[in-house]
Order: sequence, then structure tokens, then C-alpha cells
Amino acid sequence: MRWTHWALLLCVSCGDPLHPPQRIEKNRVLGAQVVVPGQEPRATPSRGEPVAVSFWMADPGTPAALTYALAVCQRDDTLTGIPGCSGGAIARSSGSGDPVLDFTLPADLPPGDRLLVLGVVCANASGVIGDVISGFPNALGCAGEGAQTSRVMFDVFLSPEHDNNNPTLADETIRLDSADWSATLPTDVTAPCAGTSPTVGADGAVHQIRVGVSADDREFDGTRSELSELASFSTAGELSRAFSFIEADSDATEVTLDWKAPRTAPAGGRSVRFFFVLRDGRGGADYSERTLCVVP
Amino acid sequence: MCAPVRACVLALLFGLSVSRPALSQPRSEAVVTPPVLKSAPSRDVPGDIELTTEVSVVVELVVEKNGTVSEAKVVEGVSAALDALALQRAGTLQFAPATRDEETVAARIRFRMTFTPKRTPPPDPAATVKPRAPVTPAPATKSPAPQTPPAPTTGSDEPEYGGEVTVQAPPRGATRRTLAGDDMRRVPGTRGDAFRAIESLPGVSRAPAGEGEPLLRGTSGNESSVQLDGATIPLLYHFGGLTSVVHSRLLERVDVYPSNFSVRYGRVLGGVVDAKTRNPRSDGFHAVLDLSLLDSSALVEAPISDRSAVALAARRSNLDFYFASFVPDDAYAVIAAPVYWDYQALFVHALSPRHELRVLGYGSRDRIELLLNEPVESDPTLRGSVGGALEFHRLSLQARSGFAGGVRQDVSLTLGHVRLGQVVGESVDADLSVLNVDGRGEWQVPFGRAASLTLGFDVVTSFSKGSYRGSRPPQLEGDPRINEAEANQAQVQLADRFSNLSPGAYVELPLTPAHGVLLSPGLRVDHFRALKRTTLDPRLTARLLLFGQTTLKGGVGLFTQEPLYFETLAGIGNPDLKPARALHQTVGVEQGFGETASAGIDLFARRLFDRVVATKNGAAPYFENDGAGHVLGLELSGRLRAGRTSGSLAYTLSRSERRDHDAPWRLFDQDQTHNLVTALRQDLGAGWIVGGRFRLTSGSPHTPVQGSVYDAGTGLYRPLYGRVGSARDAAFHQLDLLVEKTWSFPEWKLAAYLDLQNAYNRQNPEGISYSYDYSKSEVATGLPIFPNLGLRGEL
Repeated sequence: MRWTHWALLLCVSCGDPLHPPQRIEKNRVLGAQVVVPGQEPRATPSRGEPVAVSFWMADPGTPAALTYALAVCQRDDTLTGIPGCSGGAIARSSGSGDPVLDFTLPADLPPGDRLLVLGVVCANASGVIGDVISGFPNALGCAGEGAQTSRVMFDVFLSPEHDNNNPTLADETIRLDSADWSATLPTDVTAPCAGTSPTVGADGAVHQIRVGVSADDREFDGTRSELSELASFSTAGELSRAFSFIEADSDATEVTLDWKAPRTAPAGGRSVRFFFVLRDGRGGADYSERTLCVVP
Repeated sequence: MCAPVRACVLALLFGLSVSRPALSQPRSEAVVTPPVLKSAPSRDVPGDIELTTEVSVVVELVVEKNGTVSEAKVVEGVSAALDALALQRAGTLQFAPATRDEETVAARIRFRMTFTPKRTPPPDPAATVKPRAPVTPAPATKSPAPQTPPAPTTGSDEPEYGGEVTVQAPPRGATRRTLAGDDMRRVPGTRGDAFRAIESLPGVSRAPAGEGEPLLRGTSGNESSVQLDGATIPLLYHFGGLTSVVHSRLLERVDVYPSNFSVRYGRVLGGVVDAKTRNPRSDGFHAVLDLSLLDSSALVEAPISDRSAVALAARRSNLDFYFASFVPDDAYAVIAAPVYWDYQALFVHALSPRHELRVLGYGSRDRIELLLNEPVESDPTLRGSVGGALEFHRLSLQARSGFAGGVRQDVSLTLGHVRLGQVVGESVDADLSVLNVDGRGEWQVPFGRAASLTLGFDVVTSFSKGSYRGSRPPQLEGDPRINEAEANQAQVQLADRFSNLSPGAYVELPLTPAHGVLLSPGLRVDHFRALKRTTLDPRLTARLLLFGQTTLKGGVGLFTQEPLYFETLAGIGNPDLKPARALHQTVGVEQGFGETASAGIDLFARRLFDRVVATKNGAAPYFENDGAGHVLGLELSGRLRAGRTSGSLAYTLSRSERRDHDAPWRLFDQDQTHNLVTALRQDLGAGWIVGGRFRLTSGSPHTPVQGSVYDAGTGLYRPLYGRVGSARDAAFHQLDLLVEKTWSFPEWKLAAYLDLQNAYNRQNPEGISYSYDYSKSEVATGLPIFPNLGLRGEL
């Protein structure tokens, strides 16, 4: 590393200069998960097994109308930059709604330790432009004025080369200011929320969020436990950080972060959504979501 | 840009730009004329002094109103016998006295006393005879009087001062630009750093912030060599550009060969910066103490016998005293603030008038350690501890000898150790230790009046061991992905020992077939043991004195550079790589205008082939010799030294392009189409000096980002790049000003200075920062206006 990088390192810790990644200001893909149906929480399918890949989406308000096109292929040996396919598509999927890709791993899949899922997710678009395999990434996009394009990629690690389970976040305790924070979600996040629970004032106060990460979720490979990486997002207010870690050699079982409430809210209150994505650094992931109401 | 980012960028650039101004000398306050030598002293030596080559002793004289010399002391000695002889003859010199406002006054001047062997050997065919002005000491007024006049910022082949006629060796290359003496320490905006001053020369590009390595004629810093007394300096600048690791007052000169250098130098495709240490003063104890915001330094020197002298210099940064005050509290904890230090120790012993032994030890250390309070949002692998240390030590033994028949010998052995340790959160953990043993020997043998022979060898060896965990080392130039998040890059881990041996030998045959004509054909052979390759580099330079002060010059030759060490390591590199090659071509004209001005024009071309580039997809064998490049350029230079005014002008027009594999030609990462540097310095008298430097440079090329792909596995976006190098930053321009006042006392001097950098607060672009998804961007700017005050005492 050249000394130039030291200069960068001194600066990068100061935060994103333009807008923070933990703020959901538009339709975004937050993560993806691969499962072997019937063998949850295994995240590394074997040849011949069914595979389900799903992407988690987030919106600042009313969910956008989504269309998508996905494909899975064998990953090429690109080590720098954006990878591609070494052959044709193993499976494809397209449609509307949250993007998913279900397929069965061919039993005669050539040697290789991972597959590559790639594609595009379009918000408020009239359709997808381009072929997922041959057009990725530059010639793949979304049609329609005002359409929002999210090109995505995701590595699917295969067994037996890799062996891994998804961590579980949905059943973990998430607390707001030391109180349990249920996963009950409003049906309409744009509707007035006053009277729902939990409620906080629009006073700029700092609230503490604690996310439990069970030690059971951190697999042990014989030398060390998996790390846990929690990505946190909100539709309003200011989260203290986008990424939190429980390092591999740590005994910690929860992540703590601060959220600063907004200073304004409509008379009927405003729903603020929180999204949490937990990754194990080896291809396993889980997702959970919470909501609170900010009132004047 | 958000406030914290701006704060830390400014803090960094503040550190990068704090300057130590140049040394000062007392200056006159009225119109003066210097003493003029009436008759030249004898250059012969007595019979008891054996002398086979020409040598010079620099003495400091006090010339009284009647033109006689009342005081003399040696400033740069050769040996006890010759120093004594110089002092003896100095006392017999007669001058026309100096005047101030038409009144005769005493003056203190420096004078170079040159001695030649009793039987003058035939002129070295490798030399050209250049008419030299009579002694040109500085304007003089009250005692102590000035020494040399203000010097230009553009280097010259001319020494600062000299005797009436001097046989001056020609440049060891088609173009040599030299900074010497106070010249190299008096350039505004360089913090008095001789190595930073070379950026004011034509053919030397402005280095981006944090990358201070010299960029010579369209090549990378790692394609040029910076040498100190013939051995490569492992690290030129503290923290990538703060200040160089060698005390500038210990240097005699810095020669810059931007291309077409002699066969004496090898293993690089770009150019050579060759610095020489001076001998310690032998006329008593001397010391310099310099205190500035950036660092503190001291230099002491004294004779320790009638044949030996020693100089010691050391420097330590002051950054750690205030660094924490300039960083955002919520960004990181400072475990160990940036600290650097360096030292130099030089011992010189004259074994005889013909034989000199020199021992030079020097070293440097940089260290920083931070604890990031939060993971970096754009790359969460950057979290926790971030730190590193880079340290080196060198011991160089040098022997310089002259023998009968004008034969000269120069041999040296340099032992060195480099230690590098870095931890960057979870992404990089590196530890490297390298032992170096470098040797060099050169013999110059004259054959009559028209030819001489130079034979030499150099050997570079290294024994390394280390471990590395981090991203796979990329192609360092021309690949924008080098700046991507570590989390998005393939990780490697290795621990290994490796050694390298690269012997080289050369022969040069300077010929003077006719008066004013010098041809220097040479051949260099290099063997690269790690590559199992041997290369031959034929080179030719020519100089033709057309008439008066007009010289036509040119050169052509082949040059070779082995790959960077990691590019050939199995597992991350390709052991089957071969060296990269280059063809250099230069033609130019030098024109003198008396002693007050000179100008030059150079046209140069450089063609690169077998460049090492990464494989198209970054996969095995990782690197290939499948790159090409070319550089074309024009350099204009001018300098002026008239009375109390000195100035320089350097302009370079160039285009440097590269091609990787079969991709279209692209701009070199640090291509600079236009590079204009002009400097002016004025002696106002009464110890006051003012100066300024203005730079106007094309912005650096960059690769635009045209979109992004979200990696759901890491939660990070990966940029989609446009054509490499297809956009360019806005132009860089900056004005630096220097004001200095020196008070002179009988035994010492005190100087106070103000070095105002970026005087009109130009927000120069130094890069682009992007939002997390690359949908928005803004320009990161460099150094704001910064006034640097300092004090210096000199005994």
C-alpha cells in the first residue's frame, strides 16, 4: 500500500461526503439470501438440489412497482472488477414484485465453487432492456421515463467446496431504548401512525437500538467463529452507522447503535421504517424490519 | 463535501504542505558591485603534493577596501595540505574592491581555488572546456557580506561560482539539469527541500498530493530512480510527500536526468535523480538549527583531524504535537500520531590528496497508528486498527581515488535494511523485511586528448522475507479499480522468502573527434537473476558546440526495467515475466546569454514496450508483458540572474499514453499536457529576500464512473467505469510566496521566514469522491492557503 492510501484512510473514516448509505431515500436492494428449500438454514446448495434466491428491497414510502430479470450462471475467473459468466444461463427468472430466482442446481455442473446470480431490478419501469447474461452490466437496464435501475450481482457458494448456514435475525431480539421492539408492520407506511407503538417525539433525541446476534448463528470452523456484520437502514432520522460488526474473536452477542429522531413530523405522525441485514461474511445472510412512529 | 471530510482532507494536506523555507543568507541593502579578481592564482601544486586530477578548495574571503584579503577560511576542503595551500594563496590575491553606492567597501565572498596536477594530463575527452566567468561573488555591502547571488530555480550545468577556466565534465546524459547549493533550498513552496525543488524543472510533472515521487517526462515515480551517492534511496519522502528523508543542507547538488541518461544508470525506464552529498566543512565547528511547524532539524559539522571531518544531521516531525487537534473527534482515535524522523552521518577522510574515504549512514522511519471509531461506510473492511511503519537504514562506504595517467576510480558498497509493517483493519496485514547489499565501481581511463574509457559495474541484491494478507496486488497504473473497496477485491494470503540479484556492467567511450564535438556511445548489460534474463542497452549521446554559447545536443538509447517485485511472485504474480523496455530519443539546443541568462529547448520521445500489465480478468498468470506506451514532449527553459534578481521559467508540453493488451490507447494516469512553472526572487537588501513561484498544470486524467452494480453479497456497490483516463480534472494553479529576513551577527545568523503557500487560496482538484452508490460525486480539493512561519539559526 502506498502512502497515498494512508491519506485516503485518514479521510474515509469521516463518512460519506454526499449522502449516507444508511438512509433509504429511494427504492434500493438491501441484500439477498440463498436457501436450500426444506434444508433451512443451509446457504450452500449441492449439485442436484433446489435453490431459492430472494432479494430484499426497501422503499422510503409506498413500495414501488418492481419488475426484474435475473439469471444464474457459472462465475468466470475474473478476480478484479465485476465478474461475468463463464457459460450460458443455468436458470432465468423475470416478473414483477420482489425479485426471486428459484432453480435446481444441475447434477452435472462443471467444477467450480460458486455460481453468479446477476440481473436488474427496475422500479416504476415499463420493462427490462437487454439480455441478463450478454448485456450485463452496461447493456442491461430499465425502460420507461422515471424508471429506477438497480443492477445486482450475488455469489452463490456451493457445497461441498463451501459449507455454511444462514444466520437468523428474524427471531432475535431487537430493542429500542431497552424495550422490546416487535416486528409488527403497518399496512400503509405513508398513513398517519399516531397511536401506534412504539412512538417517539420529533425532537432530535438520540435513541438506542440493540440488535441481538445469537452465538448459535456464528458457526465455528475449528479455529474461530464467524463474524457478524449488521447493515442498518432507516427511512428517516440519522443512524449512527451503516455497518456494525461482531468480530470473529469477540464474545459480544448484540450490536448497539444510535438513531437520532427527525425534528419534524406531520400532525398525525410519520412512520419510520428500519431495515436490518445480517451477514456472516461467507455468503449467509438474514433480514428483518421494524417500524416506529414519530409524532410532533 | 461534509465538514468532517473536509476537515480531515485539510488536515492531511496541511501536513503535506507545511513548508520549511529555504536557507537565507545576508543580503545587501544598496546597489553594490562585487570584488573583481585582478589576476588568477596559480593552479600548480608543490612537489610534495601528489595530484593527478583537478581538485578545488572553496574558501571564504574578506576582501578589504584596498582589495587585499584580510581573512580566509576553508568552506569546502579537500585535504589538510591543499586546504593550507589554498589559504596561503588566498592571502596573496588582489581584487578590485567591492563598492556600495559607488563607495568602496569590504566584502565577504566565496572563492573556488582550483588546483591541477603539476604535469597536466591531457584534457579528459569526456569533458568540454567551458569558458567561465571570473570569480563572481555576491554583491557586497556591510560586513559580513553576501556570498553568492540569488540563484535561479531552474537548474543549470553551471556551478555556482568558480575560477577563471574550469574543465567541466559534460552531463552523463543528453539533458542534465542541476540544482546546487542554496539554489535548491530557496524555491518558494518547497519547504527548502532540494528534492521538492526539482518539480520546478522542465520535464518534471507535478506530483499529486501524497505521491511525491518524481514524475519524469511522462513516466511513473516507480519508473525512475532516486539515488544518493550512487545508491538508490528506498523511500524519498516521509509519508509520501511531506519532506524528503535527506537533509538538504548536506547535499552538494541534485542532478536530474529526465531521460536518455548514461549507461552508468540502469534498471529504470524513466529518468534518474542523482543527489550527491558534500564534504563536511573543515574550517571549524558549524551548526544549523531549523524549527518549523512541520519538523525540527539540526545539522552539525566539524573537522576531527587534519584529514577528517564529520557531519551529523537529524530531523523529527512535530506533527504529533498537534495532529489530534486537527482530526474530527468522531472519526478515529489517534493511537500513535504521525511521526517521522531521519538521520544522516557522514565521515570523510582524506587518505592522501588522491584518495578519499567516505562513510555515509542514513535512515528514516515513518509511523502512524489510528483506531477507527466506526467502519468506513464505503468499505466496512476498513475498521478497527489502521496503522503502519516504514523504516530503513543504510550504510554506504565509498572510496574515490585518482591514479597516474588521469585514471579515476570510484567504488562503493551500500548495506541496507528496510522494514515495512501495515495493518488496515480486517483487510490488510503486511510485514516485510528486506536486506540490501548494493555495490558499484567505476573506472575512468583517458586515452590521449580525444578519447577516454569509462568502465563500471553495479550490483543490486535483496533478501526479503515477509507475509501479506490483503487484496490481490493490482496493476498500479491505468486501472481505476485500484481504488475500489477492499471488500470487493479478491483476497490473497502468502508468506515467503525470496531473494534477487541484479548485476549490471557498462562501458562508455566518450570521443572528442573535433573541437566542440562530444560523442558518448555506451553499452550496458544487465542480468536479472529472478527473471533469468539478460538485456543489452546500447545508448548514444552527442553534444555539439555550434558557436559561442550555443550547444546542440541529442541522444538515443535503450533502457530496461525489471517488473515490480510482487509482479513476479508465484501465487500473485507471474515468474515468467521479462523486463520492460523503452527507447528514448532526445534532441535539443542550449543557449547561453553571457552570464546572466540562458535558455533551452528540448524535444523528446519515449517508446515503451513489453510493459507489465495485469491480465484482462485479473486471473492467473495475473501479469503479462502485453503493454505498450509512448511519450512525446517539448520542454522550454529559461533562467535569469541579473544583479539581485533571479528567475526561471520552465514549460513542458507533453502527451503520455499507454495501451494495455489490445485495448485502445489511453492517457497515462499522470499525463500533464501543460506544465508551466515560473519563479522569481529578489534581494531587497538589508537581509530581506522576497520570492514567488507560480505553477499552472493540466489536471490529472481520471476515469469517469457511469453507473454501479450492487453486490448483494457484500452490501456494497461496485462502480461501472467509462473509458480509462477519458476525463480530466480541472487545471491546477497555485502561487507560493516567500519572505525572509536574516539578521547577521559576528558569530551567527538568525533568519525568520514566511512561506505563504497557495496565496490566493485556489481550490485545486485532487480527486473525486463518490456517494455510496456512485450516483453523485464531488471534487476533492487540495491545500488551502497556508502561511508557514519559521526560525532558523546558523552558527
